[in-house]
Amino acid sequence: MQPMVASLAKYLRVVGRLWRISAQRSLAFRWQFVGDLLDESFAVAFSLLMFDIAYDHTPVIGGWDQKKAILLVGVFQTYTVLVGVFLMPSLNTMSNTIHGGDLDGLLLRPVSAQILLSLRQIQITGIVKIAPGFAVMVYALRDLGHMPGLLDMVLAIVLLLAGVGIVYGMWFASMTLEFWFSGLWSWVRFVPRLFSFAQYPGGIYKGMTRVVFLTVLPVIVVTNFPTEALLGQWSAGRVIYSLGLSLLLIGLSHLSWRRGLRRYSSASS
Amino acid sequence: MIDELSKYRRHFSLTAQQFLAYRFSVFCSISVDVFYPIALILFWKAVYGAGEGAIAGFDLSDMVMYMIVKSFVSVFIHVRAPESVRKDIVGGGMTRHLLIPASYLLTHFFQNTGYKVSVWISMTVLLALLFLFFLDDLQFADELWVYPGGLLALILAYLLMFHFCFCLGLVSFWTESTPPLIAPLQVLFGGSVVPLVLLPEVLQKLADLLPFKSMLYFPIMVLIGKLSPEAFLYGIAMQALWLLIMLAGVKLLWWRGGRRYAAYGG
Repeated sequence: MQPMVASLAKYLRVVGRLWRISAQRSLAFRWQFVGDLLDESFAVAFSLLMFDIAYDHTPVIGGWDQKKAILLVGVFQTYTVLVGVFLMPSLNTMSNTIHGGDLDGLLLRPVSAQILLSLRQIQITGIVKIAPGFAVMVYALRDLGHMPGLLDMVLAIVLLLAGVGIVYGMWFASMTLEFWFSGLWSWVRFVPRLFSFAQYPGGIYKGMTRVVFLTVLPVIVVTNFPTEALLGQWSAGRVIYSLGLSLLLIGLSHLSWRRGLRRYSSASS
Repeated sequence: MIDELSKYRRHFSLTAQQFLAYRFSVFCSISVDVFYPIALILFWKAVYGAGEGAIAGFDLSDMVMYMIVKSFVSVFIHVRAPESVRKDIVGGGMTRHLLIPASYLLTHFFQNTGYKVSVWISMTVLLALLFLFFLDDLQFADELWVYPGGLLALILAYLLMFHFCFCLGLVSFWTESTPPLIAPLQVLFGGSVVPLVLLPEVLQKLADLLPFKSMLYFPIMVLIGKLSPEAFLYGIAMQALWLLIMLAGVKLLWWRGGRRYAAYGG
């Protein structure tokens, strides 16, 4: 037990230091966040506008009324920011790191190269972009006249983090394809773009599409589950499924990484 | 003139070859953009399924066509110029271009068009799949003028987009990042969120004053057969006008920015 705790503490220390360096780099462009915040606020406003136009035509879409859909907009925005701040900066450079031979330096270090590759950079100033999503969530909950209980809130956070874990697992695994197909520079956009399907109420996906979006490409799990948890509509089965899927996909990403490494031949001197 | 253009033809063919070598990567990149409207189409199918009738003259078939053609036009007109121009200016690579007896604008134009060759090939395959997937919901325009007219609108939209993005790239003479709000304005007033006729009237009027409508919304509406011949001619005239304004913008920014540019080292 003790070596495991020591190992965890070591990783936390390493990631903490990497994030500090990364944060210092982000803060060198500190005014960038003002523009980002404006852009993000508009993105949220446009989602609300689209839902407003659609709900003018009908009171319920896919079993969701407008108030609930507005809450989903807030949750989706929060998910997007978490991915943008913690995953995107590192995973964006992964293809170049493998393709360009820079991976050698990471493999020689006495810590997991997968963790280094996945978490070495964050875009800390981007965290302010969570504000519009959070404001929309507060507005929607007030409009619904629903104050989530402590357990609802904790489970919503757990489900949201599990959703981020699901995206990470699929995204990282997809990036390891670089070991087999060199030059997949555009592949980096593939998984996050697919998960933009998560901004819609899950009820619009029917039949086989619904099955796919709950299992193979679990976009419904990523944002719909936390949204419904905030409304107290969670179940133990959903929580277990979401956490299990997240762990499974992270595990698969590790397997894919290990298999890919076997094919890796250094591109540097 | 032909001799003058031959040096740019080389840029075109080299970039085309470079991206065709990575055709799988280009295919993957385009496939996300082309398949992205699937979720939007399913969303609007749910909306039309729950409600009754058309929304601002758009029935379900129009909306499905709009979303598919929108993804096609977005990919068709997409330009890489702002990023590469910014790199040249901020990284000092511009010096090399200033010493070469070739137009910087035309070099970029032919490089970008060379890149588009692999994009357009991938897009054709993917679009055919998307059309097959939603075949039951589609209704193609009856009038034949729509197709050559749509092609003309597309070409002008591409030229307009290129010059607009080139202007954005040249702004890097003054600032390191793209001016904020451009991307969201482009998304809303280009008709990416919803067709512009569905927007509140005040936003529709605002869209008429901006170039984004001519870049995306107009070619889509021509191709789905939602415009009269008169509206088509007016739209083409607007595209030409915006193109002239963008050309003037490029000249002005290049002239003013060139005076500010400084690079050190080899």
